[in-house]
Amino acid sequence: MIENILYTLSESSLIASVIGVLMSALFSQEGKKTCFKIAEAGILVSAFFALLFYNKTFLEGFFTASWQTTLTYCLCALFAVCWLWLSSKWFVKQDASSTRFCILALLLMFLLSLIIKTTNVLVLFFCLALFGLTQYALLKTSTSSEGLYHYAVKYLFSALVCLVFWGCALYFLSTGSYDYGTLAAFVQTQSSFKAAWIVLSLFCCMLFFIGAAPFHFWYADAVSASDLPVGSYFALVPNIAFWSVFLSLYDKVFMPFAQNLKPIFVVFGCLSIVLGAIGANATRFIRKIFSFVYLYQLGVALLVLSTFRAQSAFATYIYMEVYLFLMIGVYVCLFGMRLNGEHINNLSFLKGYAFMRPYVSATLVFYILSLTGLPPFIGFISQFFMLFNVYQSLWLLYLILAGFLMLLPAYFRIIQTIYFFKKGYHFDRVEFGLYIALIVHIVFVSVLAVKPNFFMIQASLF
Amino acid sequence: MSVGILLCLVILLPLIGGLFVLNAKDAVVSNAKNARHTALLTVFSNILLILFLFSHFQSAENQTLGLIDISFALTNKIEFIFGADLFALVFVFGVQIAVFVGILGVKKEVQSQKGVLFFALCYLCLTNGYFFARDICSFYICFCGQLFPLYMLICFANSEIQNTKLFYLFAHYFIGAALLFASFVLIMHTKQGDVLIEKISSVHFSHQKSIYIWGGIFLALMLRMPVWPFYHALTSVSVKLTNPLALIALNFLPLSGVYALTRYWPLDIPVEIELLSPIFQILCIVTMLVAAFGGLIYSNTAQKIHHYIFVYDLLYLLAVFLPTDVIRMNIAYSVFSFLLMGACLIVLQSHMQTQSLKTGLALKGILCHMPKASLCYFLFVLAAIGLPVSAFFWNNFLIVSEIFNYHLYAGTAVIFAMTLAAVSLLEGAYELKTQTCLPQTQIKIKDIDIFSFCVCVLIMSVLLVSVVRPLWFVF
Repeated sequence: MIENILYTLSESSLIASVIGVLMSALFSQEGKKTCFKIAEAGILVSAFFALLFYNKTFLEGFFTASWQTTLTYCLCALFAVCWLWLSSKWFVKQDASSTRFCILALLLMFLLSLIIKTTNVLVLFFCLALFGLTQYALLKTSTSSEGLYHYAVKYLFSALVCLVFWGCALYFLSTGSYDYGTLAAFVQTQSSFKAAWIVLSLFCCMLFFIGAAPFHFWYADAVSASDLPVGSYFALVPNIAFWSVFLSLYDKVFMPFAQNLKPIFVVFGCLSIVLGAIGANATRFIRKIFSFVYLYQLGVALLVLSTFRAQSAFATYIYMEVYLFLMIGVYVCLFGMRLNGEHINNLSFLKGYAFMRPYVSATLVFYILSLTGLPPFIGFISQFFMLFNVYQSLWLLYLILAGFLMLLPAYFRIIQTIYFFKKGYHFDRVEFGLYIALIVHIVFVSVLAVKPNFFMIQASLF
Repeated sequence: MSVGILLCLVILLPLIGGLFVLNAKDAVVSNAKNARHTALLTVFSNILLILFLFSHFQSAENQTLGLIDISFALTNKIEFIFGADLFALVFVFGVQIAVFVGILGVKKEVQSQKGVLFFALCYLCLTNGYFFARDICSFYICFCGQLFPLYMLICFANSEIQNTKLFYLFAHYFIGAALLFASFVLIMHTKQGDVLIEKISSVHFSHQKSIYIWGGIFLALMLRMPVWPFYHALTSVSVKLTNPLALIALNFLPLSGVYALTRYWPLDIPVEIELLSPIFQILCIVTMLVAAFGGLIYSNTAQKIHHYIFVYDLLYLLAVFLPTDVIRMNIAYSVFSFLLMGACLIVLQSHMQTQSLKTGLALKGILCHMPKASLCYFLFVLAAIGLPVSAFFWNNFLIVSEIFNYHLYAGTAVIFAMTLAAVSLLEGAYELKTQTCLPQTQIKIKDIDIFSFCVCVLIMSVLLVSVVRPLWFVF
């Protein structure tokens, strides 16, 4: 009993932090910064306990703890702390109340912790439903865009539709098992209609939460149209968690249906690549460009998963992990890019930014080049390890490379706007703290580029 | 000092120099000059280091591949290996001198050349790495890595260049890089690790795989060459550039393709690809003729020089595909001379264009007011068109005679194209020297400075003495 209580420390520290934030809002005079500090501390403590009990969990049978879940949760926590640290600067500048934001952040982390650890589709269903609602509430905290209300409603409605399909699948599963491990065996005994419904509803619902095509429509709006802290949450925090869950389902549920699912993986992967590349080239909003870049990366990962090889899942995990590490750097730069007190989102306002803020510009270019996967940057190494897994399907390899070529103009457009257009604006000074953050991050990323097996376990096996 | 460290220094020194160049502040003119001097010093130091590396070869006959090797293990199965032999060193030496001349041509009074110099040095670093790379991973990294500095270099040199033109050019290059990447992934998977480039031909692939691999490598290298239909993209960007450093980097990028093909293209490739060889050779010759005629048609001397460079790029490409390895070193020596002459011509041409824009005078007859530039320009034009006393002539003579030996019609067409290119170059020189009616006193045109003049004379002397013995300065 006591053991089980100990194992919940990771989650209970988050709940305690929620109470702490509420108390601070009620009694503290300083407000904003204190809320963020409590939230950050709560998440770090939670990650510490997750690490301490890395292979122990409460309610065994519903939840599991392994190196993968612990790593994923720790990464999530790290991304969340970075996100909260950056967001605190925004809230201080805007002089806006941060209590609701911090509480939602902690609740989301709590739900993510459960989502990562669960091995039961019923628990996952309830967690996702709550998670959808919390994300909807977070989206509604944004005040920057009038259209955001519609985007938030659209998101909630789509999430509910997906979950209804999942609910039907759960109804079909009610006579069998909800556990990942035994679910596939049970589904195989069902009629083809029921089996297809169960597998496809799980698959599509996960794609919706990940933000892959053709369920990507909400993601770009959530990232681009919302306030920067909310947008950066969608770009940084939940992605690795959902990808990890998707890979668990891939390994345990989807794998036995490889033959049937392969064309779907390929079609959705191709669609994500094409839509990602077209979308990134078509928009002028920098956050939207990066959200389409994410869509493209998802497409590549789905295509690699379509090979249904044992190593594919791990390779894509590393790939997404490196991608999200780089995105932290990109968002640090975006938090630093301000014009008359407003954070810049439209590329047109970044004209000639490099003339005034050369260091931030150079760093952004460094991250962009890493994201493209051009050698000798870190993105190249993770891309290489991943593509190494699709050697059997040559056309897949060429398809991914074609997508890469389609995406390149979007990256180069950002570089060109920043560097080669005449300066038109007087950009705000970048905070000293952001420079320090960039230096630390670049050093970390450079270490990864020189010594990939420092972080990428597969690199040492390769 | 061990040769391994020397080799590393030759590769990395331009990058270190580039970081120092970045240190100069834009706002002060003296600092802009300082950046230029730093860049010059960096490349000059590299030239000295390469000369020292040459001294490790006992004689011209000692061409053992991998005489100097240095490796870094990235992972268990990926090991970056760099090595130098005489063939690579000749290319590297030529490129350093060309870039040195290019930096001399960068206007010193203009501020914000920092970006151009920094990216030129980054480009140089990766080019050196490319020439010294011995395994497929490091080769690909340098092959693809060259492109971004080149892109930035071009954009810094002319920020108003049209996006579409740049896009077409770099689309070619990146498609090539993607194809090479795919081929190398296949090779690495077959071998389960990194492979030395010269060992690729000894790896056994299935028939279909070998078509993909060799086809990919062939196309990747070919996309760097100005062969039709890729010829137009390179021309359209070249004409928009006046910065000599950017022009040198862009125009000599095809030579990296020549280098790789000369060095690594095996004689026993799949029959399907070998069957395409005559078609490709015809394309090459046709493009050569088109480029030669193009040079003749344009009245602009800069255009004539670009077309002349394309003709010679394609000549080397044709020579590479001859079924013989006898002229391999001749290609290297010829490329060395070609790099030197081409760089000098580009810099002189750029200087004339700048003076013409400054003074508002037409280019026609401009050399009459620049005695030093005139002397250098004519000497280089004469050497470039194949003056028999230059080393360039003798090496090309051997290459063309091999082409004749292989195919009479091909040889005739090549000679015809080379003659046209020579005529167009002479015509351009004549235009520049035509006497204008303006009196000397009214014209305030600056000649090239004494240092640039001395460098040009020194390069010409190197070319002349090389007739007696190639690489006389080493052995």
